[in-house]
Amino acid sequence: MTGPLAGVRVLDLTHFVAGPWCTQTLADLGADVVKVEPPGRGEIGRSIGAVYSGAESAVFLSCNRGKRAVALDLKRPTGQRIVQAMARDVDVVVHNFRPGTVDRLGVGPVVLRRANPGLIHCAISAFGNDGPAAARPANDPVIQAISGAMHESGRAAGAPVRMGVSLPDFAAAALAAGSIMAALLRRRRTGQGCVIDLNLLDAQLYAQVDRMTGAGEAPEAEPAHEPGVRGSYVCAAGDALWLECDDGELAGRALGISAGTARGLRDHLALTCRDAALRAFEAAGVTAAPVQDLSDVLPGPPTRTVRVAHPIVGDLNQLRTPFDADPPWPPATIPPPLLGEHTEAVLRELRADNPTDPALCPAPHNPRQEQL
Amino acid sequence: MNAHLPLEGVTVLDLSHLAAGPWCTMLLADLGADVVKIERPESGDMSRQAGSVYAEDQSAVFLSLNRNKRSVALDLKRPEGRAAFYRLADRADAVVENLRPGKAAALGVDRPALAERNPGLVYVSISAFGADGPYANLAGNDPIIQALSGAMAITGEEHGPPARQGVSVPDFAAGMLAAQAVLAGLVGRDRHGEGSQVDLNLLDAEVFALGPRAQEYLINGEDQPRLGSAHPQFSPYQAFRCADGEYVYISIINDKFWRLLCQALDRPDLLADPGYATNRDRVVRRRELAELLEATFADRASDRWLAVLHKAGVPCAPVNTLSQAMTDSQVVHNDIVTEVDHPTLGTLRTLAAPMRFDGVRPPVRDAPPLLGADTRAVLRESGLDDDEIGALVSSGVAAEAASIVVGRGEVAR
Repeated sequence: MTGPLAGVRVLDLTHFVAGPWCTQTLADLGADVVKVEPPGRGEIGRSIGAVYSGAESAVFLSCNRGKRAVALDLKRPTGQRIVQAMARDVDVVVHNFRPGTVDRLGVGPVVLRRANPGLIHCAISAFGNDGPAAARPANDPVIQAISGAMHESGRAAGAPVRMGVSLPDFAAAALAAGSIMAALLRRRRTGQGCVIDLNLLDAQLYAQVDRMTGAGEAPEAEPAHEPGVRGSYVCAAGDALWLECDDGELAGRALGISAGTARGLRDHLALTCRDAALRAFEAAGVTAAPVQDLSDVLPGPPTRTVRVAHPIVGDLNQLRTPFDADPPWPPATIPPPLLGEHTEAVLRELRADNPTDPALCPAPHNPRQEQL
Repeated sequence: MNAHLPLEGVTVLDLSHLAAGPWCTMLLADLGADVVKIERPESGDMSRQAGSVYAEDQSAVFLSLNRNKRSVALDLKRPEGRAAFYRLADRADAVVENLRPGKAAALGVDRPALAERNPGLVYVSISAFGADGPYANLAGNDPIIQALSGAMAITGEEHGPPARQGVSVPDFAAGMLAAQAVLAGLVGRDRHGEGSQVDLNLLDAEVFALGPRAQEYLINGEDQPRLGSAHPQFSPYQAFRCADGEYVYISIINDKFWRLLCQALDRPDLLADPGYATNRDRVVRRRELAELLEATFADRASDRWLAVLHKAGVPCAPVNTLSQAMTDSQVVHNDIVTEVDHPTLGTLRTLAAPMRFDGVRPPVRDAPPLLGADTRAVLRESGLDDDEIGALVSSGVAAEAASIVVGRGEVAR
């Protein structure tokens, strides 16, 4: 049994979060994804953040399941020629270098499509290929800040609040994967390849389209007159709940208190056990839900996670791409690869496909040591 | 005209309402698919009367998530309506629905009923929590899903209650994943000829969107704190209030950017301080470092700080409101804010699709449709003649836009 993208070959030149998350989705759906990283420390995601398992960062582990890894130095001509050779018989190339870098490295769409006209070349950037911010560094919170999401998340608090989910990365990854699959469908009909580009800022804005559509001026948040009761409350022992109700009197009555104000509810709930409060709300027909911690949610139902056998970490529990398909799409269980783990195997396959290709001769004896 | 759109020729029947399903089908429509939205003749998609922001009689929620689609008003509860729907489904590539679990089967429009006639059909069902489980009776709306998912617990001020993420992450995430499911299903069908049924739910989609945060928990088993605009694993990495009351965000993810920041702020003393040498050191002394920087940033207006920091190559940004975002220089440059002519509202401002194919952004071709705007055209395409369509309309099984008047907050009967 294979996933729907079985037979699709992806050359993955991505790093950090958005790009790797996109190609992991393609891998989960059955594509053969070969990830190219710089020798030495590998892509930046391998050594970012503070949570590690073995020598691998949680960030890297979270976005690279189902891939094979090749270590090649794209700053050197030999490395570039090998990647160019690899790109000749893949369906898709994905990268998230800064604008312009890909051409400098000799793996831009013009060069690669000359040898492989059906290629789908997808570039993910932070802000787009040009414009006042195009050359600036950016990551998740920078995009959250510019897009208005951070201001919106902090309206109740006054100061900006970062969304716990890195939505710019998720949005760009999901939209890139969707665009690539749409392009694959077209190519099957027409043979036509294409260049896709998208950026984290535009992707984040697409996630806010429901807040930013209107006939006249941009819809600004409604003025806060009196604070409503709808919102989150911290109960005894620090457990929190979300009250999904605008009727303060009804919510107050449910708890047996007369004050139906946010303040009255807050003071009462601070001393109330969360389960008791939730039961009281339910009995009164008031909608409320526990604000669950990660430890309540994960690992969660077995269908939510997938276990992969990592050569160093051992059993690694990971979030599964949440599709339940019939006939089933088995998720990829190849663990996030060690740096250069598949260099030799992939180059050997390439040599077998292109036995006379000058870029691949002379064959390196041990690519990991030679650090091409 | 649509030469750049990859899904041209793909037909999607859209039985969805509110947000997640329509977001999914809007992406497919933006990518060029012919999305036919099937709505109840009386009131249509319930999002036509949802929320508090309206442009005349059209809700912002509906207007934002339904452009590039066609609307057919058809009563699936009546046998004649179902028969007409089957005609559409015979020619469709995919169906997307987010009815309550079991409802599609009750209406006779679930995949088993349709696949007998069209085995290649890709059918994607979106629910709030899955078909069953402990939350099956809970309302599956955005803040409830955010609360249950773990995302709300890690969002909010350091000493404050959990906060709702200001963007509809569950609906958006489920919508994007559903679109992926449709597309993957179609790619698979091209290979082996068989369609598929794919189920997904908002809660799992929001948990999946936690991404690296979830992997951290799955490795170390530790819950994560709320830190306002800051992040538990990087420092300095937060918004700072400037002299004009506006905030500037800086995200120092590594030592290179720390050096650039110290140089930009003209603070060689900070750079030389071994106590701040590595990200790990700076995370340990986050509070102390933040207080120090708060005082520094309070000295000048935000635009002055941004000019200095941009020049130095420090990752930074203004903390915009939504309307400031729409006039941000890069957003304006990217030309994603677009306008479309709406039949009753005049010019409607919205955001275009975020990707480009061969340099061209998929256009907003059509405004969000009036209820039943395309009933006649679509039924004709499926082979019904004008007499048959006339009979469906006069018996109320189908309806056309001109004959339907739906006001804000009231439902025509």
